[in-house]
Amino acid sequence: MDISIASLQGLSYSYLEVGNLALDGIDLEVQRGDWIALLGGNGSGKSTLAKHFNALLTPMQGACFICGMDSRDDKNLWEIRKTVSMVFQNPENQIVSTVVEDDTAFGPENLGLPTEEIRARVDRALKIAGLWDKAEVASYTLSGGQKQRLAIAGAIAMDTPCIVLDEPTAMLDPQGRKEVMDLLKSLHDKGTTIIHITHRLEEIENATKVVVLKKGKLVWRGTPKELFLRQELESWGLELPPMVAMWRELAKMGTIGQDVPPETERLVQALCQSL
Amino acid sequence: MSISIKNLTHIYHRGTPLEVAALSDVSLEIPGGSWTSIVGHTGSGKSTLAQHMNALLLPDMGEVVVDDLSVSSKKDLREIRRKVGLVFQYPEQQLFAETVKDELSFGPKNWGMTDNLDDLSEKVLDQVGLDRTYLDRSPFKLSGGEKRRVAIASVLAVSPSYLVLDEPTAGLDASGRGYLLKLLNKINNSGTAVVMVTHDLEIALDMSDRIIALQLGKVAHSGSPRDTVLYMSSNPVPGLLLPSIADLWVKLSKYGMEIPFSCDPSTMAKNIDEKRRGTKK
Amino acid sequence: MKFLDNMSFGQYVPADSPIHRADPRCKIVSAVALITGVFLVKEPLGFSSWIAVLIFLSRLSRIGIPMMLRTVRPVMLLIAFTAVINVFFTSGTPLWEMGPVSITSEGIRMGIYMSLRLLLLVLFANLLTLTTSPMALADGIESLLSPFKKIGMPAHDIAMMMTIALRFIPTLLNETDRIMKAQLARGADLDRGGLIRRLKAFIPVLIPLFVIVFQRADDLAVAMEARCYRGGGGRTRMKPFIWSWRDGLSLVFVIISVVVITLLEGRLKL
Repeated sequence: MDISIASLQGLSYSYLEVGNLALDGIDLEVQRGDWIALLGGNGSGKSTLAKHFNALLTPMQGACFICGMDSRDDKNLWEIRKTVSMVFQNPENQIVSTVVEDDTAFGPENLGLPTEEIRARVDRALKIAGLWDKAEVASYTLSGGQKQRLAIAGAIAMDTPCIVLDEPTAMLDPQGRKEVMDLLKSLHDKGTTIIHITHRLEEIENATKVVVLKKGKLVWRGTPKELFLRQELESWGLELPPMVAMWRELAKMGTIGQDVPPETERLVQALCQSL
Repeated sequence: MSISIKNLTHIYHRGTPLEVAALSDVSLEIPGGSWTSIVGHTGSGKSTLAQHMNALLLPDMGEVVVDDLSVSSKKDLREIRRKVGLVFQYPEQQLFAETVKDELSFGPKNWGMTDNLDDLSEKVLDQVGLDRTYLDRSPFKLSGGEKRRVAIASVLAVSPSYLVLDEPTAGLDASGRGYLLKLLNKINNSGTAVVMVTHDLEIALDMSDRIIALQLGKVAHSGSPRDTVLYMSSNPVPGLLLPSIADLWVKLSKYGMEIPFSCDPSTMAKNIDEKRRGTKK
Repeated sequence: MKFLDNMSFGQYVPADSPIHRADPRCKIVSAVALITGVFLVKEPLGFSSWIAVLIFLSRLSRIGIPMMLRTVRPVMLLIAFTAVINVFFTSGTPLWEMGPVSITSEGIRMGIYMSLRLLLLVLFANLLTLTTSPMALADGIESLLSPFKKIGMPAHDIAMMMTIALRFIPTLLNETDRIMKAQLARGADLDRGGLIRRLKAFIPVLIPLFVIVFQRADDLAVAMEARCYRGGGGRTRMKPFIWSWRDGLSLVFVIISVVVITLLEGRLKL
């Protein structure tokens, strides 16, 4: 089995023929089983990059290979979309059908699968997404978190090895955010490769790789832990989770040792001992 | 001067099998000039409450009084709507005019305030951190954050005494959120009361004088940020997560470490550090 | 409030009933037959028979009469208007006269019948949309239209457009509600003045709504493409139609009742 899911090589893209590059020379390797956190502020180009993973956009310069298939070659289009599925920011705008299970079936129906296969995929996807009991419900009665889980169920039903999610929690309340993040965790545990676009550093703890975009350029890559120690976060349009920010200040002032992790229990322990 | 709500009840779908009380017997007071945050889970009734404050919805029972005007008096409704500016969620979606200037003068014209519209537009643009070069631009060609600020400015244009905002930071990135909160703080400091409706307890704790927590259409708690944290640490409100720093503060105090409360990471770090120095001396 | 709005436009209400389970093609043809039937009757007997059929069917569908009646609200004005027009503009034996205006007994009858017809039409049509999911409805229409594909009718596209339109009705109603409230909060006056003034006052609601609709359409198109949608070719269905003997029987009953009610009324009149 090929280990590479996506390989971006000097990828550049511009929405206009001439003018600013939305993406400028991106090099990135995504491997099977990765959870890539793709970070950046508004206008960093992260959504534009997301659309390259399943050939909704194709590079103007450089190349994008999905499981070895060149996305610029039109005949690879449908194979690529069978390899990488996408979930977008606004769940409301990606639900096609009024009934939950009908919507989940939309993708597999497009693939021309036999009826029984579609049914099996839909049932499985709804169970994973925790919407099994809502299968026959009208989608407009769902909460925000449930709607986004429905959108993710639609991607699960495509049975792709990789799912790209473009700020899936941006429009949700804390409850909905948690539901979606828990679902991503369980998908990753099942072996799905996750490419998660976000600007919330609270959501990257499970990422295996972190990539930061700024003005179309890939400016940093590393692990979540390494990211938390960077000084440039603010200029990247990112903000540390408050707990980590406080932890960093305390460590700087020498109130706690560098070895204490930014976790509540451990911090409380360390602080009680030091005072 | 205040928005005073007494025993407010609001029922949706009255007389149908779907009848549901979005608000039941809610009483509260929003003092002029203050920053009050109304927090609650989706469906707690917080947006319904916001719409009552400027008479977009009218009480099924109870009373809403803004300064000395009551919503029960029909002729006062327009003045109440002027006094209490209401900014909906994603307000950038309500923009419609050809230029920012037209957008900003929409409200004032509706209320017959036609004097010095240019000066007024410039003034409110300044309040949201945009300069006069924006006046002749199309609101549809601005960036997302700028659009939202123009939408807020268009509500400020009729000089409300109270500014009610429903999830003003939704969908913004870290820098956009920080900047908007700073602007709101400035607006608040210049005397306009801010009422922020949000499910983000972290922002509410950081910015507010007072917090009102709603749960299933009832006031679960109201008090200072510090009191709210203490209350919620022992009475969790579903759908509202205690921010990590507040949680840490509660746990430290359980171990007998009394530290002045703050939800701001660096202030909190400073407070902890000072405490350490204090004990060492 | 939101949920009610949805219902009032005849949005699908999932439930388990013989009508819900029926093949959508059977339901579509039946609805067309019933509506034709409604337009064929001219006498109290005919109308009361159709009202009885409607009551029977709505019971059977578990939707219930009160909920059904709520779906008529948006067209109530139109129905009232029809009634008034007929009352005043049908010639016959005058009951009451004032200048050029007169009310005739024929007018009153005509007014009542025309509005009853319209009412029954809307109710039968809504019975279809209330009990049939948009996806099934669209697939049913596509299947019924498929013979016309040969002469170039884009049956699939028509059906997909319908599905999406129905799917987005609740969303857009919510948006309209929110934008209207937002502009009211900015002092807009949406319900004062004459027709022209009111239309003008709606510009601040309509423009944002258009922007939102186009944005949504754009997003949806991208999302559908990402899910491998490329038109009707090669698509399969999770819920293929199975035309059962029940469907055949129901359709036969519907058609028989149309014929019987029409004939019976004609006979009695003679």
